[in-house]
Amino acid sequence: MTTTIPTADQRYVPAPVGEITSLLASTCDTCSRTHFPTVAECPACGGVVHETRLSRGRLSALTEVTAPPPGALIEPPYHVGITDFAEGIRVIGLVDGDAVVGDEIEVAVFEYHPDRSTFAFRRRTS
Amino acid sequence: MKNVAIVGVGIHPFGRFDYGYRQIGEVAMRDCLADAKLQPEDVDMVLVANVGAEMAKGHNIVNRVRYIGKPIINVEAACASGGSALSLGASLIESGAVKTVLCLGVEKAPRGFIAGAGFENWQIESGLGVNPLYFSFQAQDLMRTTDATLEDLADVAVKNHGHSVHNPHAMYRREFTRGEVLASRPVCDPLTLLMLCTPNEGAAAVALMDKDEAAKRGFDNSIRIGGIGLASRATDDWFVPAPSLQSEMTSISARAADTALEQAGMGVDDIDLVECQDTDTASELIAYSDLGLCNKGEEAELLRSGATTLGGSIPVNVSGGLLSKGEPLGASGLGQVHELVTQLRGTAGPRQVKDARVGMAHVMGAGHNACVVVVQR
Repeated sequence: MTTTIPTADQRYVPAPVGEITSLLASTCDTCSRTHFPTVAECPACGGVVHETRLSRGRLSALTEVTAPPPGALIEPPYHVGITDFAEGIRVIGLVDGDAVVGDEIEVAVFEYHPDRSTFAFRRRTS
Repeated sequence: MKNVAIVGVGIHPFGRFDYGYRQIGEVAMRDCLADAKLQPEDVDMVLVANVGAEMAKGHNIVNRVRYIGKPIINVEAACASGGSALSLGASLIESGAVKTVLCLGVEKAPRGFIAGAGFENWQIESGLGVNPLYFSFQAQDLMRTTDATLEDLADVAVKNHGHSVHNPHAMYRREFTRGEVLASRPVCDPLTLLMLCTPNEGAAAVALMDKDEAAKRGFDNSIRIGGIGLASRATDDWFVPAPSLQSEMTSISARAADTALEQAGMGVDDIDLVECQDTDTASELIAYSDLGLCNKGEEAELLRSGATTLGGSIPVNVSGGLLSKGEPLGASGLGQVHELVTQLRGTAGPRQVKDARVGMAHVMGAGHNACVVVVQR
């Protein structure tokens, strides 16, 4: 075993609920593509990757889920969007607050259930 | 692809039924055998496309018809399951390994959102594991990067439902107005309920035979598979369940279409009709450019011109599409081939495309993967 497999929990830098965080991604040393979540090696070209942190982007799509999806612990209605990051990657995630398409986005820790937190996109305040 | 004839097709209507997938599959299999005038014991192999049933599902269906004692293989590739089964069967015949293959697609999907589409647990628990979200993002991207409007998204549903009134196998067989589509329940902005297909139940079957074998044994071999392009996710593709996408994307459907046309030795201008993956109305518009029916950015214009309506220059989803038929995952792709064969035989009745000689079927789905089939007469 020569490869370190990242755990599924490492999607963002741990921080208290409501605080700003960064998404943990991997950027390929060879083809420069960024992947989220992190990968052991570049699935595009097989190259060695290094860790990249995605913290600021722009909301490019936004929609609302009004009916409970199978297996979801989050209560509808809730908003989901795509944030475009300068690193050339677009990430799908929950949207916290009243951000609209075109807004500058920061990534924050969001509690969607008493026992569950994840990352969410919100309008940048800083 | 030079040697594969479609000697028969069968179908169980798409909809909701109070019996199980085994009976649904059995109906399509018997319908196909009867259409081909083929005995079950003459089949060398059965490939069964299904996503959600159970262990050894194909065996459980075929055993109701005949204990054939030949290989039965179950094939799963989400929405492209049927196309994958067809691809495998055609390749085996082309290689000379077998002479006759029955491809059977069947599904009995539960109501509501599709579960188990391949999302990770963190996506499911936090509410990201729901397909229409991803369709809505594609729709928003289409509206942002082209002149496609909300009205265009509605008009795809109007067109396909208009076609469906002539298809006895469709689940919904009534016309809807643009106003009705726009006023139906919002699902994920901008998509409303009538802009989305429903996962449902049904089955379809296609009997393949080596064309020379068919001629020798007196089967009609006039309808052939020209080519099949089967593709899985490449570097810059994106679809369910991936949580991120590259800013510069490529099209898996375009690659599958290129392969199918190249195998057939044809260009897109040779195609007389298309059955495409209209999971939602934006997906159909995106397919127009992916499959080469128009350039990128011209999708809505092609729709508005009437070209893709029955009677137009390149009718799309004259069966009513998945929007009207519903999408029994394992059966949807072979259901498209059933429609193409019906059209190429000239037996489609009021939905007949005049002088149809070459048809294209297209599916794509979770994982992700895509399959494009060219059928010719």
